[in-house]
Amino acid sequence: MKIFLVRFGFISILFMLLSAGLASVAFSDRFVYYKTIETPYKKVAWNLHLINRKPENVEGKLVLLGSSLIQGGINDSILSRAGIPTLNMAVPHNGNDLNLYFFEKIQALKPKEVLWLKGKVPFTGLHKLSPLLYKPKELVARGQALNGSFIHYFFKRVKLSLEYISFSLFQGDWNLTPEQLDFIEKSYGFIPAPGIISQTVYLEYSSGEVLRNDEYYNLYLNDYTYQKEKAGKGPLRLVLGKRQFIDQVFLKSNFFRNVVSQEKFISKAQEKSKIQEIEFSKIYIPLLIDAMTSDNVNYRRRFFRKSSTDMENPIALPSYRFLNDKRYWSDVDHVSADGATLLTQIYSEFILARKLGK
Amino acid sequence: MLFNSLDFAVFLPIVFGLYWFVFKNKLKAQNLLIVAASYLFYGWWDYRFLALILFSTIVDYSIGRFLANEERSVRRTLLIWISIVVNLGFLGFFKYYNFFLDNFVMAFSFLGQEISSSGLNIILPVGISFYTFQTLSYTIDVYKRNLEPTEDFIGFMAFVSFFPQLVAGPIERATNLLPQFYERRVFEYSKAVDGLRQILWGLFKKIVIADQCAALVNPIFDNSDNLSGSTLIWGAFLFAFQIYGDFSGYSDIAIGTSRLFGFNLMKNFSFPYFSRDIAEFWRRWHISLSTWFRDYLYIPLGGSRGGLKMKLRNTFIIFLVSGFWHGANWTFIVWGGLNALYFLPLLLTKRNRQNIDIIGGSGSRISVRDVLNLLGTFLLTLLAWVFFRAENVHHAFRYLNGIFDRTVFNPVQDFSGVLLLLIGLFLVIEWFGRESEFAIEHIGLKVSGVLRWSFYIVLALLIVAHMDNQQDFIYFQF
Repeated sequence: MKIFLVRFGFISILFMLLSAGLASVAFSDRFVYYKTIETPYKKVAWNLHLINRKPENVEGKLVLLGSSLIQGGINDSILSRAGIPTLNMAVPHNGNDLNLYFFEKIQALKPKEVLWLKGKVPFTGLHKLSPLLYKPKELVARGQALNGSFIHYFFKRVKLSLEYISFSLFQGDWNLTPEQLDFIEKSYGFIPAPGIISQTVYLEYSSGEVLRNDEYYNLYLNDYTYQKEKAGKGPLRLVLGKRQFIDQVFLKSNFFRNVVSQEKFISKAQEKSKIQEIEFSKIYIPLLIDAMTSDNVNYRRRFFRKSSTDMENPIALPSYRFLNDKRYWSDVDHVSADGATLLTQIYSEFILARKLGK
Repeated sequence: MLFNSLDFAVFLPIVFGLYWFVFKNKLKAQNLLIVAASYLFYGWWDYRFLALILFSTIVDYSIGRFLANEERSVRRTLLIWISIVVNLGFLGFFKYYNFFLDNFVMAFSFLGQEISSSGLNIILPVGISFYTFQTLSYTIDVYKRNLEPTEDFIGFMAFVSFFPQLVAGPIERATNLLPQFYERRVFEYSKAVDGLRQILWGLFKKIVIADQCAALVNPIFDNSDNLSGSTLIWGAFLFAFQIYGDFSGYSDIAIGTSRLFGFNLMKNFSFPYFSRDIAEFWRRWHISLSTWFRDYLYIPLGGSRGGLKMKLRNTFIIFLVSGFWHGANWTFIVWGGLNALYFLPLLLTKRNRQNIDIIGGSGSRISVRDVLNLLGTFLLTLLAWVFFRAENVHHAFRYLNGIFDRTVFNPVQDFSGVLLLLIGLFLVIEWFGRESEFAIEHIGLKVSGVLRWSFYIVLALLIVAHMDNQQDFIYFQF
């Protein structure tokens, strides 16, 4: 047994060291373009191209960072026309890690202000593109805990490293096609979500039936706190109750779900923004259920859960009822192009008023 | 819990540590640990169905005890029928209820009688077909007096629920596995290392071969009506390796994991794609199921004792039932029937046992005829796999129709040279290891030091490199 464990341990350590070595290979921006340009994450290539080739475009701007909610929710050209020069650098999928990555890239380019997406509930896990953008050492240095999310990230990074080596060896002559080049050169940061929500889904939502089963709606009723299921009576129920307790303490804890690390990424950005004298605020983007929820004075508590990194109140409105129309929604989470126009117009007034101290 | 998940990667070392360090030399405690671990392993998917396993265990254990004290033939027969009805009753309800209902309704509408029905929304408990057959093997063997009924309830629980093979086999015989729960287990270095090697190879088959094939096979079968004949051939070819890598990979991980705990499970696959005729293929594919049907259905039906007619009838029954065992869909029945048809010429010419040894085994020469037979057999299985994978029989025929089309000469869409290279590498390794228990077993015996360890690390890196495209094991649905 001793020999077995020693040898198995040795080969495992050898494998992990080799994997760590591979994971530490730095990827070129060209590889990032190659991996993202034909995917829903092509905005990453657009962002990098802008930072590398047109850094002057960032200076003095209000930069928006976040997920598809911002990418298709806030139209930067409307804000710019309203007198707030803006750049929408949001990329689909939730993850403060990705926001931090772009924040660090632009901080030296002197943006005036950063608006960071405020989630309804704190983000969990890691952004899908973290393995492409961060080396393990870099991610850990920014506050990533050594948990399940990190393990998933790590092995995906090793996979990408192998792919990068193959890309460098065999696809050295890869270049963007004219259409792809056109996209990263000419597009805007705002990419509207496609289409309009179907009448059936919209009516189902309006009826309240779906709403009652909606996780966010139920969280809203519970003040955004995940509730334990009641164990009830009887021996089996008791066991299930214990299982739920173990689930809550371990598997669903903020550490294992990576909420702690996600909050640390925001803290990191806030620290750096203070040093660089960049204004830093969070902005809330509504979901369909918010448009269907009645107006309330306590909206900052009721639309989203406050988190430890909400140093000041996030930008949010007391009501989103003005969006309660089918044509303003692409799906239950994303506003449509029309919805984005309306939302941006209203937010622009709000932001301008805030700047004037009203 | 899936073998290729992070959950299992945490679960296995914990159970291994408890088993060999905390409960070392305590047979009862080790068996109890296996039961607890197995129930946790299964309950991770859906704890409600643990009650089903527990019920089957209690029923078959009790029937075994009753059979031990019963000499009267009528009562013994009654007891075995209770076991068969209870076990197959559960299987029938969970797996086949809606199928029979739908076909019943369809048959009536065909006769001009419209009847309304509403199927039940039944969840199929994972692995029910596997553990049902395993517990049945116990009661049948006890009934036939091939096995002494056990008094050890914990040992029997462990036999029924043994986690490495609980959800997708190999379907163990009570005569092989159950006695292993009575014997004191001693840790053997060579056995454990062999187990790890087999787990590594199983993961390679599943993650690098099967899952990568699945990523291309699924869209091809989903859009088969709009694709060229050449692409459909490519899809069927990849599915052959998907199903083999998926199922034999699972078996390898199951057998390897059992070895870590000191158990020996039966071999389930023996390089089936190196078969020279369909009879040989079936001696090498899903061996635990084929031999189960042989011992508990084919032989009781009379086997080959009643002449050619009976032999043909029984062969067809076996293949049709085997097809139906795989799922409640006519595609599986047609797949079984097709394999029976392939068998027919071999039975008629009495050549069904002409290829007993592995091709080119023990230094024998490989003839051109062997190679042609091998390719022919592979093509026949490929054709049958189309039925196995298709959504319904109509879809399978449309798929085959699409292959035999002028577009067969068009360029293949979704072609992947890297995947073809991986399959090629896989076949080369399997070829050189075809006389071993599993393909890379001989690497542990013949290849030394740095080269061997480098090989393991390359395999592990390939597994890691393909981990983000994981799919469920196909045989879980059976």
